[in-house]
Formats: sequence, structure tokens, C-alpha cells
Amino acid sequence: MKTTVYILVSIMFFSAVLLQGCKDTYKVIKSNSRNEVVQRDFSTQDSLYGFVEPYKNKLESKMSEVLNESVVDMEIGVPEGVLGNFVADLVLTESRTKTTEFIDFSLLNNGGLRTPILKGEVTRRMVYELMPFENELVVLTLSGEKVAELITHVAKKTSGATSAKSGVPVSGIRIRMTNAEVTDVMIGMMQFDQDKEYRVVTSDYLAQGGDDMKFFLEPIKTESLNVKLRDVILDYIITLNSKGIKMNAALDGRVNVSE
Amino acid sequence: MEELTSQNRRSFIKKLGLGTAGVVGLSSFGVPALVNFRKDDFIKLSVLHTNDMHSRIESFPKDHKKYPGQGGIVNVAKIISEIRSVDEEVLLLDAGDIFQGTPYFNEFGGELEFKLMSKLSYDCATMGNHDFDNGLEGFDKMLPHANFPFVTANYDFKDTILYGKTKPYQIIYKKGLKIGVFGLGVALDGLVSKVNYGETLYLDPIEKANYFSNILRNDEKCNLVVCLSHLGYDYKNTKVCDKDLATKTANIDLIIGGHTHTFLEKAETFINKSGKKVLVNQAGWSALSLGRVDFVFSRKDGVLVDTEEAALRTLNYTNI
Repeated sequence: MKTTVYILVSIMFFSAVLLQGCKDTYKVIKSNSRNEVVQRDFSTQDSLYGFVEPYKNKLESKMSEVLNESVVDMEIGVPEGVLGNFVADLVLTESRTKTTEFIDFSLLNNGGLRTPILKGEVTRRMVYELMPFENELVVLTLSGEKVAELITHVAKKTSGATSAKSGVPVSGIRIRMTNAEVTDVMIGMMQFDQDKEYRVVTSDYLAQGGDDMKFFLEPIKTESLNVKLRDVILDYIITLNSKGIKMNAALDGRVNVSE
Repeated sequence: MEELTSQNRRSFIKKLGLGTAGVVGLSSFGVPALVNFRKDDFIKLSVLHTNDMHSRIESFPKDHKKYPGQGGIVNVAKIISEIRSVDEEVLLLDAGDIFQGTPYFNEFGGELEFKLMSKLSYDCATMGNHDFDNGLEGFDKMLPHANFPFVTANYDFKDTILYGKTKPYQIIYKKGLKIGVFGLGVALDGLVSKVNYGETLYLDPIEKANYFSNILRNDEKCNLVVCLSHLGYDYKNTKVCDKDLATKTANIDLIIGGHTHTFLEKAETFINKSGKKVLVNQAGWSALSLGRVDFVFSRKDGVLVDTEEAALRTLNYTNI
């Protein structure tokens, strides 16, 4: 009996060895998955700290660099705000230098201007906080009909607005309304003409219909300026500073609601 | 390590579900039943992965509305090293969009991202659309800081400065395993400005996936075929996504996705075009989540193992 067992075991053993010899490939027999939320403290105690520190410090000093000085408090507002006017104006001015075809006006959103710029020194960090997104500028060619929709949108957001965020920063266009009714629109020096096409510069986020700006979808033409909104702001205020000009802006009734 | 007594050896067999005639027959003789198993008959591999880290070196600020104190490469690094200290075989991968999102990128162009990933011993990565943000030159300039390869099977860089600097796939050896990893990128037109991608050609991802996964599975005889995809998990429109990739290809075991910043709790299972299982996973963005898929391999053909992985981990193979 014992002998039979040994023989049997031996047969099994050797056949197993033989099997391994010809089928020596690993196959997945089981998988298990669970993703983990990353929430860990990182401190000076961590081994990577010393590695990251020089970069962190260099970045810190770069972000603390004073680029210019603002002579006024700039904040978002409705129907217009000093901050919105400042940014919309510089976006229009700077964008016009980056393309050959004329740009009629600019339009942004207050929701994208994340923090006020208060009177005093303006650091690079403050500009990053104002515009933390990587949005780029695009020029859209719109039909007069779409521009009419755009104007209606501004009027709708502006009249009876309770939050400053509802304001729509514009430059190169003046919209006058009585309550929610648009009474007069000037684009550049001319009366708005629904039979004309217009070129408007905005952010790629809004151009894709962000913040409910559906009139930007399906434009006649899209031209990417390949420049970030933040970089345009940075370049502009650095250039102003190099000319000895401080940052300033004011309300000028470009979007005006009367009762 | 738990000592493997003949008692728990037998319960291990049960857990393994080795209820085949041969094994049962042996057990009935009261001799060690796992006589034909050796230490290296099983391998456990932990696949860890990130995507869309977007230059998030440190966590979001503590006062961030949505992700206070969460995410960050230096923070996910701690979890990775914890796992490495427990699990022997780790494969660490990234599915692209390493660049862009914090001032670290604007200031250093991706240098710190690549250096940290090298320090963490990433095995392989693919390119996302934002990795083109400083142009092909910007990416090329950072490559010396990465000690891991970039795989892209559907970008043709033939007429660009990146020619020969990425490869369609990489074969990685871990213990006794041969792992094939290939990469797929998203259509660049409309996402990346032409100035930045230059003469890069975008090729059909499904076609390339079938072509290269076939090579990896059938010619290279890889034990595991992984696709690093920056196509996106799913779309409302017909744009090609990881779900399409999973069902319209054969020979892929695991698709590690990116681009859509999708948070999955765990890998989703799909059935590929030859009726086999394929896993699709994605880990959000900004290193807010670490993707993890563990595989257990056996070199016993036809053996079905239905056990808790813990049983395998604590198993002292030397006693078998």
C-alpha cells in the first residue's frame, strides 16, 4: 500500500515538473482594484522636502516680485466694475497688437476674475490669484444676429443683478438700457448694425460656451491668439511699469442701466 | 510571515479552489498537496498610476474650497513609498498631462515634475495634450530630467524634433513577468495650437491599439498588456474614448486613462472584442487620487484561484 502511494506521488511530482517545463508562462488569475484618495501632510521631515525646497523658494521669490502699483482699488462690479474695465480694456488693446485683422470689442466674465486688486503694490502672485486659470485668448467672428444675442445676454445679466459676479466686463462696446430693455449700442464709434459681422476677443473658456455664453458657439471664424489671459495681464502691467505708468481704471458708463 | 502548517496548507488549497481531481486525490493520501507548487508559481504585481497631475507639486492649499490639503506629487509620493515597503513588485505609470496647472510649470517648464517622477521610479508615461504646452521644443528640453520612457503609439513624430525620443511601447520586466506598456494620445487639432504640435501626426488610436497590443501579446508574449491612454474615459458625443478602446480592441488587460479627470473608485470591467475581460481605470487629476490595480499571476495553466489576496501575501512559499 505504502509503495503504491510513493509511486503515485512520484508520478504526480514528475508530471508536474514536466508540465512546468512546457507551460512556463504567467497568466493573470485574479485582479483587484481600489483607488486611494491622496491626503497626506508634507513637511520638512519628508525626504523629498530638501529636493523640492530650492524650487519652492525660487518660485516664492518670483511670486513676491512687485510688478507695478495700483492707484485705485479694483473690484468687480455690475453693471460695470473697475477691475472688469481694467482687464477688458487691456485685453482689447493687447489683442489688437497680436493679429492683423481689426478686433471690434472684448468680452470677459466677472466669475473669471477671482480676486480684487487693491490700491498699492501689485505682485506677480496677485495676478496669479486674479487669474489662476490657464485660459487663452481667442478672436471670434460673429454675425450681427449673434452679437444681438450677446447684447441681450449682457442686458439680462446686468439689469436687476444682485451679485457683482453678474457683471459682464466689456471694452470697445457701450450698452445703454432702460431697465432690461436695450436702448442704444455703440461698437467703436458706430451704432451697432445687425447686418454687419463683428470680431470679438474673449477667453477660450467663454468661447466654448462657458458661463452660459451660447452666442459664442458656432462662430463664423475662430482665431486663436495662442496667449494666456494671465500672461497678457502680466506683460501689460510690467510694460506700464517700465514706462513709469501706474495701474489705474475707472467706471465710465460703458454698460449703463437707467430706470 | 505566517508559518504554513499542513493544516492551513489544506485550507489554502480550498481557498484556491483547487478542487480538481488530481489535487483532491493527492490530499486524500494525507501528503502535502501543494507538492507541485513552487515559490515562484505565483506573483503579485501592484500597478499604481496617476494621470493629469498638472504640475501639482504640492497639495491644494488648506483653505481650498473643494480639495483642502489634498493631492500633490510630493504627497502621493508618500503613499507610493508606503506601498513599495509592503509590496514587492510595483509598476508605476502615468497617463499624461504632467505639465501645466501651477506656477511651478510656468517657472520651471516641467523640470521639477520630471525630476520628482524619476525619483519616484516611474516605469513609464504617455503624453497628454498639455505636455505640448511649451511646444515640442519645451517637451524635448525637459526630457533629460526624466529617467523613464514615454510611450505614444498614435503620434507620428517623424518630421519633428521628438523623432526617436518616444516609442510606441515599452517592455518592462518585473520579477518573472514581462509587461508590455503602450501609449495613446488624444487628437491634437482643436486642443493644442498648431504652433505647439508642429508636424506631429495624430493616427487612429483604435487601429494602433489593436496593432501594438497584438504584437505585445502574441509576438512578445507579454504576461500583461497595459495601455496608457490620454483619450478620455467617456464623452457625450462620439469622440473616441477609453470605453470604445476597451470594447473595440483585443489583447489589452488594463487601460489606464486620463484627460477627462474622471474619479473612479476602482477599475471598471469591460468585455473586449474577443470576449475577454479588460479593466479601465482613471485617477482624477492633480494627484488627488492614486490608481491601483493588483494582479495575481499563476503559471499553472487553467488554475482558477478564488482567494483573498491576503492569503497569498502571507503565504510562506518556502514551506511548500
